Amino acid sequence: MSRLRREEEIDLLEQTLIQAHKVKVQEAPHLSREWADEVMRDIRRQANREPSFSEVPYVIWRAAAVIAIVSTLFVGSVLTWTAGQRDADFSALLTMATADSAFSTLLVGEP
Amino acid sequence: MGPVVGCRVVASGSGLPEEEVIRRVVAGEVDLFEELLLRYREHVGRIVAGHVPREMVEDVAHDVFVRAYTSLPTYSFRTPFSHWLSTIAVRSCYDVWRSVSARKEVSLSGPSEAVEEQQEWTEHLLAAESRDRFDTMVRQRDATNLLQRALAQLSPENRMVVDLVHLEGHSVREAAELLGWTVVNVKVRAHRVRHQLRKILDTLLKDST
Repeated sequence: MSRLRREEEIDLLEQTLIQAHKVKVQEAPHLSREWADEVMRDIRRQANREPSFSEVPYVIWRAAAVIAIVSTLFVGSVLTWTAGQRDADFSALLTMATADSAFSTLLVGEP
Repeated sequence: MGPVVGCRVVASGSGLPEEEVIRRVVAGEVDLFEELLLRYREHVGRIVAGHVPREMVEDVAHDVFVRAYTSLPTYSFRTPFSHWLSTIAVRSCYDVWRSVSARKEVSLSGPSEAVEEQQEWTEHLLAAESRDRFDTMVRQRDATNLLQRALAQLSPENRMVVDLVHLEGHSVREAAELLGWTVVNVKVRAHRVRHQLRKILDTLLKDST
């Protein structure tokens, strides 16, 4: 069989397959109401399993607010505690300095 | 396309504009998605039927709508909803062939039976004398089966390119958009796969003569 004849046959087959594809699309099976109900059941199941799209930002904002409040309380308490510690240290230092001064006066006799 | 009031596409059922239906579904009114489903089921069915065997159409179309629902918040309203849905449908079909390829299910029926049917069909085709007879044969399911078997020999990527560019007549750019690939990728594949498909058809002809 000549090469030219073979090429013609391949062209014919190719055209046939294109036609077959068109027929296949035209004769697509009808998607029934029952099929649609089944899809909706699946989608509703999925919607119940996950938070809805509108809930997602709400949850994020609520979580962010809680984190902000907890962070503020933590930072506030740390600052308060640090300030208290600084006051205590200063008092202790002052007490020590006063005590040292009284002791040296006692040893020498006169200030 | 559905009924059009002024310039706004109105979904059936609720009478709401399609855009509003989509926004409400995203806001949590799941039941309204049924309007989109009923409206576009035939559109999706036709796309899916062009890429997968008839017996798989319902399952794949089901998957397309579930995917569409879960991806709905990402829909930007920049393109028509039908186009957006088409990309999901095409990519779902591609995923089907990728999973089939991964499972090494190259043939959809027994190999020896398939070869016999192919030989018989191509002999009939080559013996066809009149255009009428040819057209009748085109409508036969054998042609679709042969098409499936020829395409089954291609990689999932090349198969989708053949379907979209060579069989459905989409432009390279359109095919690239539907698949989410670059234009260059589709262009190169389209060129190579044409030769590959002709080689497959040549082999089928050799087997039949």
